[in-house]
Amino acid sequence: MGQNAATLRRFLEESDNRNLDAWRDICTSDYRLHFAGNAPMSLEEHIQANKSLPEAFPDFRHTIEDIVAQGDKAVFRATLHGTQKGTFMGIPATGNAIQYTAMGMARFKDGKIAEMWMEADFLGLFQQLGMELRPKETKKST
Amino acid sequence: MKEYHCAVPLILVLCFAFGCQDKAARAELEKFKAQAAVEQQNLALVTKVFDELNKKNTEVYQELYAPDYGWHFPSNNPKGLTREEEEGFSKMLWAGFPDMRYDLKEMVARGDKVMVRFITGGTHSGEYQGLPPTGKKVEASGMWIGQVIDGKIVNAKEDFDVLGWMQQLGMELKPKEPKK
Repeated sequence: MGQNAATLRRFLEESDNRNLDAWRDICTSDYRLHFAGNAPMSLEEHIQANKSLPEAFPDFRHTIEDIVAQGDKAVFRATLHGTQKGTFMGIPATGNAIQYTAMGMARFKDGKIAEMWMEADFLGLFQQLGMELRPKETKKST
Repeated sequence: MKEYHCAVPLILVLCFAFGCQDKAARAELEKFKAQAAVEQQNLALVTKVFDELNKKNTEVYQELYAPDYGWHFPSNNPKGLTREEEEGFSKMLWAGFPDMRYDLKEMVARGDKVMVRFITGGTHSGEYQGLPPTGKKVEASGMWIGQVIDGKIVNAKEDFDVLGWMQQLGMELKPKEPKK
């Protein structure tokens, strides 16, 4: 395995190890995360967001399915698993076991991850927590 | 002189060893070149698939997808959708968003895998998942990773911001209501 592929694997494994401090060594200080349609996140913002996951899902972990690296890019596909024991984005603990997929593309600079693009099946995740899509209510009924 | 005598066979051995090493290095280089050529072909194939889908040419599913192809979306849809089911899915999207297009932002090829990071969008001018046309322009990002064997896509996995797409169409997440 090439160096960049190994570094991307370690990035995911350190999340499972609950050792997000390691991300400060793995990533550049000006790291940017582009997740779905959201505004880019800094390294510290990504660390904080990732820390909130094990609070809701204490057994949260990744199963890495693919790592593909070429040039200054490396890509992963993973399945994420966990059991909801705490509040997650306003949803009280359901005790539900969840499983959803995610993909990410990392851009490397001098052996460190400088930029990351990620997608995840968040709709699938929320559906497993008892949510569903419904037309937005335009008027507040009292 | 003794040293010289000793050195002759040593030089021969060294020459032989380096010769072999050179041969091995050349074989390695040839292997690398062959893999790079396959990766270029795979990139061209996947680019063509997305180009043809932008033209709504569903023949690509028969031509460039293997008969036992599986599409693992959303998440790890365990069975995987067949190429015929994916064709049906594309037609359903095009009915809702007739101007829908994939804009390929980046591609990575390694071995038999090709990864694409894309943005897709369109105007909601037809019925889509029970939603009457809203005329809204929507756009969302996704990633796709496919495996190519002998010039055919044999399987693909995808993660796409379906939630963002549906929110732009005026949907929101709510706790599920018990069925009446």
